[in-house]
Amino acid sequence: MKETIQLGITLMIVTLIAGAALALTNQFTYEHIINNQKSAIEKSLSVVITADYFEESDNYFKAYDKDNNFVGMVYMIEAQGYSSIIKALVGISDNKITGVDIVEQLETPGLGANIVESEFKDQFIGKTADQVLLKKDGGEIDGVTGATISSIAITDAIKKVIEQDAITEASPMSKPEETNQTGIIIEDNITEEVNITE
Amino acid sequence: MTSFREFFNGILKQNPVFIQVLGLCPALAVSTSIDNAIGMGAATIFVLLMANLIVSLIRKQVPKKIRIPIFIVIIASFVTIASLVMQAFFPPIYKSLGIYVPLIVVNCVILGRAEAFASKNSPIKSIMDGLGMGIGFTLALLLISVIREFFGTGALKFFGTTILSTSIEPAMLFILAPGALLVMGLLLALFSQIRKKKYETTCCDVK
Repeated sequence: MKETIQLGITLMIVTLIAGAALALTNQFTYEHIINNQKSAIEKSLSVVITADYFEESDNYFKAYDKDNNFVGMVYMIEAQGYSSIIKALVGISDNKITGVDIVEQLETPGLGANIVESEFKDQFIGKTADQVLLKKDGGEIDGVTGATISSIAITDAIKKVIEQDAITEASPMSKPEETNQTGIIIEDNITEEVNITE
Repeated sequence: MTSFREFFNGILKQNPVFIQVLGLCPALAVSTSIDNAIGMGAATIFVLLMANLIVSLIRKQVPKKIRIPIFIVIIASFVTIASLVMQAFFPPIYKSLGIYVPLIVVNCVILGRAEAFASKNSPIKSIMDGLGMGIGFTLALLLISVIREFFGTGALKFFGTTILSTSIEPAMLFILAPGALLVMGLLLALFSQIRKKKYETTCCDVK
């Protein structure tokens, strides 16, 4: 009995020291990790669309130029590839794709992983929903050699998102409504401020 | 100066992958590109070195009955530290290694060296052993990944820059899982053949 307690206490001391060491490392690296994630997304955003600032929502970004004009949408998409979930950003403006950037993937190196190469990604630039299909299915996209699954997965996901975007953009009310909404929000802020001064 | 023997032991004579046949899971799984091999190797060297050092320092205080859980806690802590540091300073490598970074914990080379060597030897010897084994492991990974990347993709890339390329149609098999097993099997056969020959000659020289 006494031995059991002694062993337990020894183990506890070891885990305590280990825990403290990990907490310290976490403290030291946390900011870097967050910054890395942020700058990775910022970098990808600037690749997929030309804009001056972005308004972030759950899984999309609204892009504006420096005069507050809405230039387009950037969607975060996910697709089940061959060996991983592929995450990508797709920029869309005027029902055309402005750019695609693969943010995360763990596909087979040398095959599926080649979807990150600009040779594949840049094919999407300027394409409309009808054109976003692999060539063998009647579209205008060349798949990556030997990586049919990865190519289809990402192409399908991009097609889906541009079709969705077209629906929201096509309904005549939606676009002006959006700008109105932001307008209302600004007005709200002003009225609140007035209230405070009163 | 005898500690140099420990260092070179791990690289060739006791190579963890080809001679001791330890740590095969990462050696098979991440040997698809040179970048992955280097990233994995560096993380393993760090963990092996630190775990060996700490285990050796506390070897006299550790009760025999709970030595394995204590070693595992030490190893797991260093793996977590390595993974946090990689995430903070080398995010691309961390991303491409994926799940295999946390899995260094169960790499039997590390627990194997802690149990078989560091828990019985002085810190300096243990450091040399950890370094030697780690470098041996990295070289083995590099050898496998060079073969697989070259034949599987037709080119060798080193962190984005192509260092060698051919126009030969690549054999996709090498980059996929069966290629890992084939290359590993052939290399193991080659190494045991070399060892056998060496053993025969040394035995006869002594006579």
